[in-house]
Amino acid sequence: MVAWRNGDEKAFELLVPIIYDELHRLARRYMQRERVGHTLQTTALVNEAYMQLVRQRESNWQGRAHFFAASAQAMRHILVDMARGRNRQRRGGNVAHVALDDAVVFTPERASELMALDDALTALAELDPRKSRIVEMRWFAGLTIEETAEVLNLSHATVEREWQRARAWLAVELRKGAAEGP
Amino acid sequence: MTPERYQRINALADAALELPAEKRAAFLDEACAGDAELRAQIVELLAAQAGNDPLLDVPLLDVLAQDIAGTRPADLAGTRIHHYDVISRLGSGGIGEVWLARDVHLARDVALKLLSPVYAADPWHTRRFQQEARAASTLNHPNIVTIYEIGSADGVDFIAQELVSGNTVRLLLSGGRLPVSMVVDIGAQVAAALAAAHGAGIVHRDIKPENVMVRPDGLVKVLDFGLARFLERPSTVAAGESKNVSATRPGIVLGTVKYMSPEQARGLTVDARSDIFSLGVVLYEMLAGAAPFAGDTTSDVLAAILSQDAAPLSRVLPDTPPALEAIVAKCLCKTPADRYASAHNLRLDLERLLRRLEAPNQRTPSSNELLLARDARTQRLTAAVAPRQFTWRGATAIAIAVLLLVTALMVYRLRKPDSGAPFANMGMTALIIPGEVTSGAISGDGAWVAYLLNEGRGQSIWIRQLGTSRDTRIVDAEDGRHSGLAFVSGGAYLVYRRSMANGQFALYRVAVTGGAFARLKTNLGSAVAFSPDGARYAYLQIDPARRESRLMVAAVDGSGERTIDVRRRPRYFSRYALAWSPDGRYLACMAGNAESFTPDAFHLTTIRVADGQEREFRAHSWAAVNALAWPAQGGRLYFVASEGREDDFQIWSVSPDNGAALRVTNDLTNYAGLSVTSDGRTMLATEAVSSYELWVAPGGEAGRAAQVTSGGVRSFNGLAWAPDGHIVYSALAGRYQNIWTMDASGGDLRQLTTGPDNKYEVAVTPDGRYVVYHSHGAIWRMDRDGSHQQRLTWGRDDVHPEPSAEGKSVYYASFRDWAPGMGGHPTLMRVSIDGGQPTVISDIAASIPRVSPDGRLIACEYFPDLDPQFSADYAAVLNADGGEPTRVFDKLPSGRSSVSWAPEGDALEFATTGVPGNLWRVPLSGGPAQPVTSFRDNQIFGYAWSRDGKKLALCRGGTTRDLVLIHGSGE
Repeated sequence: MVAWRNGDEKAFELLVPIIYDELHRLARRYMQRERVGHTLQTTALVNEAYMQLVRQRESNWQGRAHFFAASAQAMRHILVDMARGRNRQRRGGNVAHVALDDAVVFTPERASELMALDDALTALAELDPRKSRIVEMRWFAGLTIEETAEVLNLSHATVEREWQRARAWLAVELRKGAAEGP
Repeated sequence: MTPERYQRINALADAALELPAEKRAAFLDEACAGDAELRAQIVELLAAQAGNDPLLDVPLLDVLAQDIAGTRPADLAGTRIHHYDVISRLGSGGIGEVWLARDVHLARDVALKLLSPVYAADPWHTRRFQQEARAASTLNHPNIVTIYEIGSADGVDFIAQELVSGNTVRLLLSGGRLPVSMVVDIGAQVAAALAAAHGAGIVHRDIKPENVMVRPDGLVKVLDFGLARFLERPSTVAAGESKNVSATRPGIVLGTVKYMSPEQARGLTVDARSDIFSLGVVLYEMLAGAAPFAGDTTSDVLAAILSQDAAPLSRVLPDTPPALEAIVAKCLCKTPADRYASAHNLRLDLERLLRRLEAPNQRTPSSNELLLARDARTQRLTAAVAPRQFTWRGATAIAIAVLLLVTALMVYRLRKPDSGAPFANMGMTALIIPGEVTSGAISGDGAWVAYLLNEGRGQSIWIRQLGTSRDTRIVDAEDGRHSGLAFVSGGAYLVYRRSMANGQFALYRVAVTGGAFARLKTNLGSAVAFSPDGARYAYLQIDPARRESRLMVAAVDGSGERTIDVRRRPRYFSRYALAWSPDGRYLACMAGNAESFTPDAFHLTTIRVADGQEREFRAHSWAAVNALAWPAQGGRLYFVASEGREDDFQIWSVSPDNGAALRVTNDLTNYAGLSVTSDGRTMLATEAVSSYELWVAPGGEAGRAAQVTSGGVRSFNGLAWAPDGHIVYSALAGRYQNIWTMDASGGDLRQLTTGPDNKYEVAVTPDGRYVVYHSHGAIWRMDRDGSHQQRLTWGRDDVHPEPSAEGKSVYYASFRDWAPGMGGHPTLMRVSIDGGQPTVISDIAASIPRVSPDGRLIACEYFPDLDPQFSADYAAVLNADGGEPTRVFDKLPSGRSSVSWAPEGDALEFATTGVPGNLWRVPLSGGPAQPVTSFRDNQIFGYAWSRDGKKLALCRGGTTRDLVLIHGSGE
């Protein structure tokens, strides 16, 4: 959290337009009724940001693993902020601190789901930072099990097992929270 | 949660996963011994993991991209799907997006619902989508969104449906709670939609504010019938059951638990009554602004649904009309059998209430009010009940037209395959009878209905061939009260009872063709049951002096009279429930065994005609019964009975094999006079609906009387003035009779008591300190604010409390000597306002003591022949210290209320109980009764003068009766 606000701000700046473009590229494909499935190229997306960083030689990053982890965290914050911004706008506020085209629409349900998940993930991070990290990589950054294992220097089996447990944990927590309704 | 706890959960979960599935439970039992919560957490976690919860299956960006695709209007707009030109996006529903489109063939705009790609990929879903939509498309009802077409084009599954402009109730609720009349209106329309759908065998399963739309003109449309099943929502608290639910929509799926019925929450099979529960939740939320079952987690909400009662509406929203609170409470009963048996009945109750809310004094019904038989009745009920001057022929013609319409609208069936009980699924049709019907009977073959009609100068008997509305009068109007109408001898004759001057009955028989008129018996004191061949009849001969009731049988010509069975106190038969078995070998009676009145006074008893051998069925008992029928087929008896409250007479059935009882009806009306066709599939009953409103008339002047409640009093029972100028009264609050207070203009309405004890007959001590009332057969007092409820007497049946003038004691009547079916004489008693030993103040048979304004005299009802059931009913005045009556009023008119004191203390007062109801005064000094009020409509159910004698509070209203045909489904 603190990290990307300081040195990692670069990742944020780089990622925002990339995420934006990727979202719209994907959306166009959905709209054309293509079966997108799991063809999402998030790895490529984050790679692109990495390549830009490397190209600009401004990095104090300690290699690719760190970058991926930071990027996943940054994506999480960008997207959650977008959701919260959307929520504030609905309440009549005028918050546009995330400089994204508002064409990126969070439906109210999606926004509250995401916020709920973010809260649950934050709570999980305090108990089990590694699982939280895995969820960020898998769900926010869209990395595969293999990629996550590689970035975190863990075995495939460990990532798989932790990922399943984290999902179950979050599902239980969200079910508890969902009763409050949107 | 502590890290230690978290690690323990995870470690134990891991360890459990290492074990074979069948050994995990035992492992966890041991590992979590003494910590049930820990075990539950692990089980839930493992279930979520094993259930392969789709949460997080799809990366977030992908999910968002799909959302964007769905929320960007530009992309489908301008395209054509099948023969629909897509114009713009309207929104997204549970199963996909909804687009505004134009049907190019029919040149009309439609709402085009597209199956989400999330589901479209799965052929199972596609097929299910089509099946469910097709079932729903057969529904044709103004309150149900019409489905025009279900199709598939270019790989897109779609539903084209009626375009509704308006707002969902969810949107309306975003501005806070809704006005009461709007809620009732919306509720009635949703109930109408449900009734139609249930009739077609379709249960909605997902009634919630999002699925109810209100058009600007007020018409309500219910959306998405049958589609809930498609979504296969998680049905129990257990984790891991959210299969087939889009991974991306957990919030939507789980958000609807608030509207689930208990049986839905348990994952049981649901039927129409589940929708009724959900509608109850929506009604509650519209009124209160928040759903009745809340909790921090889904489990908490489900637990609340399963086990907690919703906070009383009147506490959340004090202005809630009690009738509405009762309706909502009935919808929200945990057990389906306790809810409305059908959405149709719910609709009728809501519509009835709506009319009272909107137009308490309106005379002319609007056109759609004529759609329903009961509208005619309710309109009668609220309108001035003026002398009827309709032309018979014209009225009949209208009746035929309306009857056809009503029959078409109201006959419906409910499919519920898991129940084999007759009338478990039923439809009701109200018969349109032009005029004031009091009761009726259906012939064994179901072809004819006979009914009694009030006609100014008396009651007449009519007969109608069902389906024709051709009515023939077979007995001209005669005076006296008529009752007990029945077809006998295979439908060749009608029999009926007519009241005699001495309070007993005479029994008559007449051929259905109108001839062969005969009086079979006089001085009859009970119901009569005819043998299946019509040759004999049974009745009860009651001897009050000997406390004895004889079950007798006689031939119709009066010969061969003999005693079948005798019961002596404390054993008794009901005088109102007698039936003869189809094979002629048994008589059935409701009977009991108790020293004095109890709420389980009656149970079914059969008596063999040959030798009087009794068989008692004690599995279920009732407080009061008023009809009993034993049809030739179907193997059950049907009767009308109340389980406790005085005005909750519902239809029941009971098996003569094992006494197992089932409810047939369960609504807020009262039934009486039941008859059943030979095949046991159709019954006719009289349904009575009473409406009560409180009025305040300065000086008792009818012209200045103001109605101070509006749809506000249910099941009125007693009112009194407090010295502070407030009115205190007893009326239903939810399911129970409780005590309320309001100021003289209807403001400051408060419910003083709550709880499941019916509290009746309120009175206030002159110092305003205490309210006295009766509950559970005892006299109670409480503080004026409802606190400190204290029981004052411990008798078996103490009623009619009246505080003394100085407020130090309470007079009342004890019915300890009285037993149901047998009678006995009531006694006037007095007890200290602080309780203690009561004293008998007079040995005379008297009831309903009323203390004079100066406190020196008591007026009461006086029964010179001891038993109120058989004695003439006089009024009497005696000294407040007791003794013999000093004055007896034996010339008061019949059809009057009990007497009270005029404010000046120089006259007794009573109300006439007919229509119009008015107050009369009879001077203590002698002379004829003089009218006090000049009301021209409505009955009077209760009245009281303010202490200063300047204001008269009244409860006025009406009781209307309708004949309803109740059809059981084929089995």
